This record gives sequence, structure tokens and C-alpha cells, in this order.
Amino acid sequence: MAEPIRQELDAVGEAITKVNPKLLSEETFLANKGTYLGNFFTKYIAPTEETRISTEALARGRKARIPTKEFTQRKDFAENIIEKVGDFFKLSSKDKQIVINATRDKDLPSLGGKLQKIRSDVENILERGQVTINDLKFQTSARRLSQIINERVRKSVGLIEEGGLPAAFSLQKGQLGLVRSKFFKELVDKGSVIDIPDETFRFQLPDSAQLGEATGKFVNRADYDAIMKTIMPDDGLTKLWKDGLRFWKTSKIAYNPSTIARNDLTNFLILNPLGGVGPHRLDIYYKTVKEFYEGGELWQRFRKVGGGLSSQSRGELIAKATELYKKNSNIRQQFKKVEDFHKAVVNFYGNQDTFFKFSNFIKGIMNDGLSDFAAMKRANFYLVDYSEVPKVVEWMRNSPIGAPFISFTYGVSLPLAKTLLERPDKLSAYFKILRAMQSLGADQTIDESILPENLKDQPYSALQMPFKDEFGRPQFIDMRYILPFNILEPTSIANNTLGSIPGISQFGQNPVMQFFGGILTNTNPYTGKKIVPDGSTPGEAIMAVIDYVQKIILPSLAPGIPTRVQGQTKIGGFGLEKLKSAIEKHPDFAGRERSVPKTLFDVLGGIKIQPVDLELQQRLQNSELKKQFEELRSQAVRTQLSKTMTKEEKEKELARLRQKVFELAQQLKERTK
Amino acid sequence: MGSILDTVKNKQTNNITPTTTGGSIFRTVSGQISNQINEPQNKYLSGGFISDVADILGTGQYAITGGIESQLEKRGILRPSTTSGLKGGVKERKSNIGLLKRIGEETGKGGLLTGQYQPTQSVWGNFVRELPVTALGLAGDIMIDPLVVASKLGAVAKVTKTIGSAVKTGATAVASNMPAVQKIGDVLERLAITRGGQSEAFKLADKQRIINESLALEKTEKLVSDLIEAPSVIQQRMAQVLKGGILHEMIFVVWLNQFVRNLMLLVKQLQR
Repeated sequence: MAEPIRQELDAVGEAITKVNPKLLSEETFLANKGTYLGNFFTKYIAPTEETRISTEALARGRKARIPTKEFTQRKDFAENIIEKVGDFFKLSSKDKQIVINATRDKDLPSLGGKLQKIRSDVENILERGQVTINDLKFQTSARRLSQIINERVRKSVGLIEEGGLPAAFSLQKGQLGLVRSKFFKELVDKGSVIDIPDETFRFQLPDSAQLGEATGKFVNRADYDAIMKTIMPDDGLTKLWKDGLRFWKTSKIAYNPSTIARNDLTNFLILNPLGGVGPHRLDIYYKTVKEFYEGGELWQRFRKVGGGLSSQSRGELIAKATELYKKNSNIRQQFKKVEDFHKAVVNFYGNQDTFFKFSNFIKGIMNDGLSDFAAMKRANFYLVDYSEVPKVVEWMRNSPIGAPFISFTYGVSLPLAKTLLERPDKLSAYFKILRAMQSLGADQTIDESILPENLKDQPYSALQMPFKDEFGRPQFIDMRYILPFNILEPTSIANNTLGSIPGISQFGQNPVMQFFGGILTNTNPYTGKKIVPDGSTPGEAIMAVIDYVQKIILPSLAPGIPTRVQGQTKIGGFGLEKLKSAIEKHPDFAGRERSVPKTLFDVLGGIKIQPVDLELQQRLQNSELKKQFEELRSQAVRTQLSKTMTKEEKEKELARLRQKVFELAQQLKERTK
Repeated sequence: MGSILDTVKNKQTNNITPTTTGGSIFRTVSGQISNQINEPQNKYLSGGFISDVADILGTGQYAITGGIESQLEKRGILRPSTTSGLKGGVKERKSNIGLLKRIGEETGKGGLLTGQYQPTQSVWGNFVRELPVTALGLAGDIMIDPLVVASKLGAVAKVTKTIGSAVKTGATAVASNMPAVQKIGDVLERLAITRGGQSEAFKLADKQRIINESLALEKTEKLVSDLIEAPSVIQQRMAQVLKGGILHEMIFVVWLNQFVRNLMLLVKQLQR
């Protein structure tokens, strides 16, 4: 078990000495070869969660230490104690007492000569707090004192005596150090980094051993930014925010079966076909499944060009090693199962994207004659590559005032735009298919004007199904939840947040915006309804706010703190609420009355089927229209009788009202046609 | 003024009486509406954004379908209408599915291929019977679309590429003459384009670095996964080996010792 690790540690160390001697000199490496494994301490490497968060929050961004100390000489804490106080223990008992007295009483004059030097050394050691006067008084030798101090410090910082975590840490840092050293060497060799600055290459890299030959040299602005991002981790608060945001996003995506299903539908029906793998290519999908599970040759080739690599594996390994170490040490093992479950969920979600990319890669290699690199590039282009986004998108997805899901939108926009510019017929064919699907329900004729706003005049994004529901109501599928349609046309939900400008509605999905926007306006951006209903008591208001906040935070199907709002008991995330409403046969929060199977189809399969009660809609709209006419009539009377308005102003206002009446009448004409 | 509700009621019964006299703005409006009531409805570009995109992409197909319909009317196969022809086809978003159904309705020919069937109470039955006309119409919509031909011949790509090149050349020319524009362009490139401004060599090397880091980390995981999952005692011994404290060969002795101890415990438990 230890031998391969030992060999790898030595191999990595030796390779670093050749590529980047600044990081690890040959002498140091040879001196420690075959024996080196660093000392690691619980306090620093596996702190409690509370300590970790408080330490990270206060941490400032600084250059990552990769790997520096991992391959240098192990040192004892008290190594210099022997050196410093060795002479003290050689003194006679009487002289020892003199030195001790002198160090106790600062006002005593200089002892002079040798004793004074020893006094200074002792004072120096005492100041560091590692040694007390009693230690000097009662210990017999410097070596013994050194042992005691070592034990004491090790106990306080918790020396990790098990090999797993230190080995994982050392090897990982060593590997990273080697890869990065090779990278920086390549940059120097290929001229991306130069010695003397010019107009373009004018940004100087910092002095850092891990930069190797690139240390202190010059690069262009964009390369400089990328290098600094690589070697400078985020500062504490930024990291905490990003970790929190990532966790929240995971809870909203990976823990939401409907989102996964919708992403899969988008990949299967739109993105992969645009990239060359149509839904009919079951042979490719079969091959993908086979290779995926067997880890075959194509899978290995896919991995070598960056397919299916987890961007979080760096943190995951250390986290796993740390957790297992803590488990061995009986620390916080109760969270292990929860974390395992979380990891399984995240992996499942990540594998969906990998699967489709891999299928595209296979088609590229087997049918289209592409090289591995070109096939990977195509797969990454057509099936969203979250790791490669422009700076502005990266800022938006990470910012507290940004759009957390913008990278999906951005990633989907590129293949759509490319197809629109090069093969618009492919997109046009989709629209024709959608239209044909609607015509399958030819026996249903519906007056569009009485439909709810989000379904009205949307022949493609609100797709009428060929079947009515069990109550004879026509049904619609809201495509804006399924396909990348929401990029171009926000849902009715988004209309309640930041208007109907395509793309802008993305900002409404930010949890911070949702929280403050919702609380400040007392409007739920998802439903457009008031968060705290009118006439609520303080207790009901608190309940309503709790319900709103937990819906922002919780995964769709997760239970939350039960609350009672407007006589209804709320139990958690949106998905769960929908299911509860369907089981209880009540309209859900958006006023939809749906059966349990249809609701399951929504919360698990991501397909929203909305039945519309036409009779109810007709009544509602007639009554609404009547109200609007009445309102316009009173405005016209007020305008005509106004004493303050000039004749021109009156005419202008009446013209405006006339136009409004005209529009209303047209609506009515449509309805009664 | 009170006539507004009357007007509304009239409209609800589809009984509109044009009234341009009487002085009320509402009566004037109702007159304007009634004059427009018989005009063909313009559906083109009347939906949401997606619908408008679909309309623009489908313009050619709408027009050709309208044109075919018009020809069929001229030849007496279909009854004359005011909504056929190129313009009418676009306005009404004509589809071959609808056209086939109209042929079926007016000629009584074609059977299921023109949607000729007697609807029943069975939803599935109606659905299945609609399939032939829908499939045939859809195939027609796709095949007669001039956009398909133009795209497949590469004409669309050529046009957009030419426009793109022209815009790029123009922008480069402007930028080279105006340093301020160049600077703005550089900033925009860095912000809005993936890896914008990075040298090609850097891009390649950095992408490879990311892959190599992940692969190296995976290798590490494979190497250490057994060790990190091993019991504490074994891990402590391994740490000693890795630190050069005891020889690797001694591990067997340690393991044997542990094994014997466990065996003894097991025997004791069995004895109890």
C-alpha cells in the first residue's frame, strides 16, 4: 500500500527538480528521497468546521504554496531550542540560578560575559512562550527539554499520525506543482512569457518559486489575469460566498429532478442534434452507454482530452481524506452519510452532461472523422461547457447581484446563434414540428383571446396538446420551462421580476435579489402574489416570510418548516407544495388545478402541463373587460369636466383614452368572432 | 357617454352597428372597429419573440404554401378565397397541413391523407387519424421551404460569413485608425469573449494544464484511496514507512501482529 505512494512521491519530486529547481532543488530532494512525508496537523489541515469557516473568512488572497514545504526537510518544533539553550544546561546549578533570577527580574543589571549571552538566549526562548522558567529549572538537559516541547506543541496542534491524509495532501500538491511547473516552462519555451517588456507584454509576473522560469517575466494582460487567477486563490469572504452559492445552486439543480430532466430533454432534442447527434441515433447512444460503464478505449480517449473531468476533484480528494481521518478520530462522523449522499447526487447530475458530451464525441470520432481534440471541442461547443466562459459571464454567475444560472444560458446561446447563422433551416424545422404537433388536436378549437396571458399568442412556447384532460379542459405544455426557450422568452414568472426583456430576467433568479426584492416589494417573483397577504396578523406575516425564504433556499422537493399562510399549511419547496396541492385536490400556488400524475410529470419529469378552464377564463375576462371599460369611462368624464386642464390637454387625454377603448374593443371583437 | 356598455354588449353578441355620430368618443371608436372587422387577420409577427423568430424563418414556406393554395384555387380545385397567394400565405402563416385538410374538405378526396375522417369520442382514435395528414403536411412544409435549400447549399452560411467578415474588416479598420476604439475593443474582447485576448499558445497550454491537473489528481486519488480508507493502526504504520521510520518489509510483521491479535479476540469471543 505504501510502496506505490512512496514511488510516486519520489517520482514527482525528482520530476520537479528537473522542470523547476526553484521549487525543489536536487540536493534537497536527494537528501530526503525515500523517507520524506511531511508533518501535518489537525489544527491546520483538518480543523473543526467552525474554525475552518472563521479562518477562511479572514484569509486574504495570496499565492498558493505549491508544493514548497511538501518536499523539504521535516523539522522538529524545538530543533533550535537545543542550540539556543544548550549552553544553559552546561552551567553549574549556581550559575543556572543566577541566570534564572536575572531573567525573572528585568531590572537586574547585565551579568556580563558568557552568563549575559545565555541570559539573552533564555529570555528570547521564554518570550516565544514555548518554554517556561520551571522547564529550565526542572529539566536536566536541552535534549529532554526539546522532547517535551515537541510533545507539547504536537499535542496543541494535533500531529496527524495516520498516513492517509498527509499522503493525499503531499501527493496532490506535488502533482499540481509538477503540472504547473511544466505549464510555466512551456509558456517560456513558446514565447508567451518574455524577459524584456514591450507594448503588449508589459505585465510582470510576481516572484514566486512555483512560476519557475516565468518568475518576474512579462506577459500580456489577458494571460497575466489567467495566470494570477491560477496561482492566487480567492480571499476568504469571496471563497465563502462562492462555496455558499455553489451549494445553493446544487440544491436548486442537482436536487431538482425536474431541472435534470429538462436539461436532458434540451440536450437530447436540441443541443446534441444541432451538434450532429439526432435523437434517432440510438446506435451512438448505445455505444455511449457501453463505453461509459465499461470504461472502454473511447472513454479513455475522451478523458485524455478533458472529457468528464470533475473541476472539483482537487477539493474532493482532500475533503474525503479529511473526513475519513476525522472518522478514524471519531470527529463529526455523523455527517459522513449525508455527505456521501450529497456527493452521489452531485455526481449523478454531472454525469448527465458528461454522457451527452461523450455521445457527441463518439459520433465525432466514429462518423465524422474528427480528431480527439476536434471532437471534444465540438462536444463542448454544442453541449454547455461551464468551465470555459467569458469573464463577464463568470462575474455574473458568481456575483451577489449577478445571474447564477447565466452560464447555461450563455452556453446554449452559442450553438443556437451559430445554427441560426449557418443552418437556420434546422431551427425552422423545430418550429414546424411544434406547429404540426399542435395541429394533431384539430378537433379542439380554442379562442386564444380568452387564454391566460402566459399562454396567449404563443404558438410555439405554449404548446397546445392534442388531448383534453379528464374534465374536458384543453391542455398546454409550457415549453419555456423545457427547451432553451426561456433565453429568448421569459416565463410569466420572470415577468413578475425584471420585466420581459430576454436575458435580463436571469438576474431575478439570484437568491439575494429574490430575498431582498421579494421582501422589499412584498411580492413573490415566482407567483406575482403578495408574500404577506393583506390583513395578516404579525404572526401570520412572520409565517409567510418564513415560507417565502425557505422556498428560496430549499431544494424543490425538500420539506421545510411547516407554516400556515392564508389558512393553508405550507410544508416546503415548490415541488413538494405542488404535490401536496394535487393530493389534496386544491389549486396550487399558481392557481393550477392538476391531477397527481400530471403534477408528478412536472416535479419529476420537468414537463409542465397546464389545463385551462375556458368557461372560467371567459367569465373572468368579461368581468375584467367590463371593469376596464367602466374605469375608462369615468376617466373620460373626469377629463371632460376638468376645470384645470386646457382644451389641448383635454383633447390629448381623450385621444389616449380613445385609443385604450379601441384596444379593448378589439380584444372583445377577437373574443366574439 | 352611457353608450359604452351598450357597445360592449353589442359586440358580445357580434352585432356591431357603426355609429360615427353622437359626439361620444366611444361611438367613434366602435365605428372604426366595425370597419375593420371583415379584413383578413394578420397573424404574422403577432406572437411573442420566439413566435416572431419562427415566423421570420418560416416566411418562405408560408408564402409558397399560400402560392400553391392560390394556384389550386385558380385551377378550380379549391374554392376562391381572399386569404391565399404569397401575401395571404405569409399573413395567415399557411401550413401544408392546413392546405391538405382544406383540399380534403372541399374535394372530399384523399381520405386520411387529407384529414378526411369522422371524429369520434375516442381521443386516441382521433389522434391516430390525424397523424397521416400531419406527417404529410409537415414533410411538405419542410421540403418546399426555400430556406432548407439555401441552407443546404451553404448559401445562408456564405451570406452571414461575408457580412461577418465585412463587419470585422470595418471594425478593424476603424480600430486601427482610432486608438480609443482599439482600447475599447480590447477591453470588450477580454470581458465578453471566452479567453479573449489570450495568446494562442497560452490558450492551448492552459487548457492542457487544466486537463493534466485533473488527470494527475485522479491518479493521486487512485493511489491513496486504499490508504485513506484503511484503519487508523494501519495508517499509522504506513506513515512510519513513508517517513522512513520502519522498513517496508516490516509491514508484514505489523500486519501479522494485528492479525494474530484480532484472531485471539475472535477466539475469546467464540469461547464466551
